[in-house]
Amino acid sequence: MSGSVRLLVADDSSAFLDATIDVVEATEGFELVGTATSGEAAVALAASTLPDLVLIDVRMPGLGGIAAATRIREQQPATLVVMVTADSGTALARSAAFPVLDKRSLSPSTLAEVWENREFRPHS
Amino acid sequence: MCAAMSDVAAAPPEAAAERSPLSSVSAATRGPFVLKAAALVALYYGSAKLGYAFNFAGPVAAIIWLPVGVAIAFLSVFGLAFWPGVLIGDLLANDYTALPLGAALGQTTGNVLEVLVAAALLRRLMRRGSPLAGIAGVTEMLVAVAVGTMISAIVGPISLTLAGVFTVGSLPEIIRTWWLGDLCGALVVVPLALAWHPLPRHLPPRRLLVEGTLLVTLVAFLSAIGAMSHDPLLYLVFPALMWSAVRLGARGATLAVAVAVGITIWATTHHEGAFVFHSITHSVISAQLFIAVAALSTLFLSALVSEREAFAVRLGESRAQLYRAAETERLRIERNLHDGAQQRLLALGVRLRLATARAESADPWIPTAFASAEGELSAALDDLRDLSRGTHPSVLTELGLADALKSVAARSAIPVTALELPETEVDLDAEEAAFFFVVEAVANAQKHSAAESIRIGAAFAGGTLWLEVVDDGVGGADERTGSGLRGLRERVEALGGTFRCDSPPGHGTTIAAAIPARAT
Repeated sequence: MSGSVRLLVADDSSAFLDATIDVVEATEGFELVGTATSGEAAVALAASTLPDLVLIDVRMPGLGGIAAATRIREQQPATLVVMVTADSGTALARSAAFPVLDKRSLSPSTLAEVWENREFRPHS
Repeated sequence: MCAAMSDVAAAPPEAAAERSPLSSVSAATRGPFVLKAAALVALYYGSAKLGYAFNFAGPVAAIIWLPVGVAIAFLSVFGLAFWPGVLIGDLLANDYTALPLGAALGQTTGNVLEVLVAAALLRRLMRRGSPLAGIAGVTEMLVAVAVGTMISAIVGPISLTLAGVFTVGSLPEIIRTWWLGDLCGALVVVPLALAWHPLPRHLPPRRLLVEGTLLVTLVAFLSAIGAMSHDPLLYLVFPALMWSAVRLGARGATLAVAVAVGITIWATTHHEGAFVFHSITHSVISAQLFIAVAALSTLFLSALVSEREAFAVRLGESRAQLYRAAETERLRIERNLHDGAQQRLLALGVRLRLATARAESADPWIPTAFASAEGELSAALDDLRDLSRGTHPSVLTELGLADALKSVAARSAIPVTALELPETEVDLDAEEAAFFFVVEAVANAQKHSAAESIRIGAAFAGGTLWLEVVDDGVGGADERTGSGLRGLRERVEALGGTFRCDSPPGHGTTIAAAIPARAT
């Protein structure tokens, strides 16, 4: 892929969303194209910005993270959708329905790693 | 009683007849009124003749005087306005060959007054619900019929004494026999009528039908043995009566009493049974006391049982309410911890890692300090997670999933059958999700389905916990309108599970989930 990775972040916690934005800015080769604080907004924004990568929080009001992630993947199969969660020990992480990124390890290097490993993900 | 009200005032604008039971009946309601009054006359006359035919009652003295029970029950249920039916029935039933006309009319006046007073007292009582449903109701019913029958027991004998049928000296004994005879009639027939009106629309469950038939047959058999034998076996019937009171509800209990009393009196008047003593007065009072004791003890026990059952239902409801309140609070705290403090600490961690990366080129002390700060932060997050996990429902921790689900079933106001419960223990997250799924689905069914029964099933197979909650209610549940169902789907899907809601209108609701789980 040429140019930077276009990234959309969805999280209903403004504290964590801000921190994620800082990580994206500090990561070389990534460009933030939008942020959302609900599942519905994430789906709409993904359709209009066509990002390469979506980081989406599992627990969000309204539609919820899983349902939003499922819709984005249906609409745009080329987009890599990664679930972000603070509870990576749960059944969600084991289910392998989506790649999972633990909030406790989010940093420029883990973000880059998720993107680099995309080919090994069953759904990417 | 509501049904009875609408029966009397069949044409709604003329409902005044019911509001003031003693007022004249309007033209519009006269047709059904006359028919019902005629039915009362026939019932009154018929029960009087039945009494004479079986020798329950002589011209003036009776072991049990059934017409008073019939009339009190009729006026209590259908309205006091039907009193002329009592008057006509009583005038027809009088034995004018044995009594002077004046005495017969005096006796009739007493009989009508007795019915009116008892029925008026009972109708006041019935506004609060069935008198048979509690000890207080049965007590007040007893007072109502005791007061009413006392009027007849005073007016009747005095009329007959004035006419010279009795001597003044025999009056107290006559009054006592008269009163007990009327009281027994009321105590047997009134509860029977109140329990069976209106008639149940459906047959009872087969188990109850079989048990009821067996019990009533047993009551009949033991009553016959007791009353026909010269050995003191009379009270053999009591265990069967008590059993009826405990197991069959007011309907079965009142029926059992009627059967026991009927057979006992028939046997007493046709055979030389246990109540046949050298003195007729002695026989009569023994039989009357037996009837009163049998009727009252059965009625009180039956009322006590229904009171206890109603109390158990209320207790179950309030426990469920408490439990739901505790669960709501638990979820609120968990959500606050998760969405508030935990997110801030996680964000702080991210910023620390960013800062650590930048600081690597500066003073070597700085990365060390950042690393130890991150260590503290990690510990704080662990504490927070443990705190959040500490809110894991205690019933699950204590009982495990299968028994926790049984406790959900036991608490439900709608009967819940647990078809299958998991034998394998699975991981906490899956267990908790499964538990909430069933709790919420059952609560939803209770709130919206109007179902008569709920079936729950849970099984672990192939790394998945399969759950199903099925009700036979109204159906038509819609995820788009019910936040409860949406919440369930979110919770299940958050664990990578699948959720299905199938609810065709009129055909019940099936809610199913498959949750990834790990055997532990």
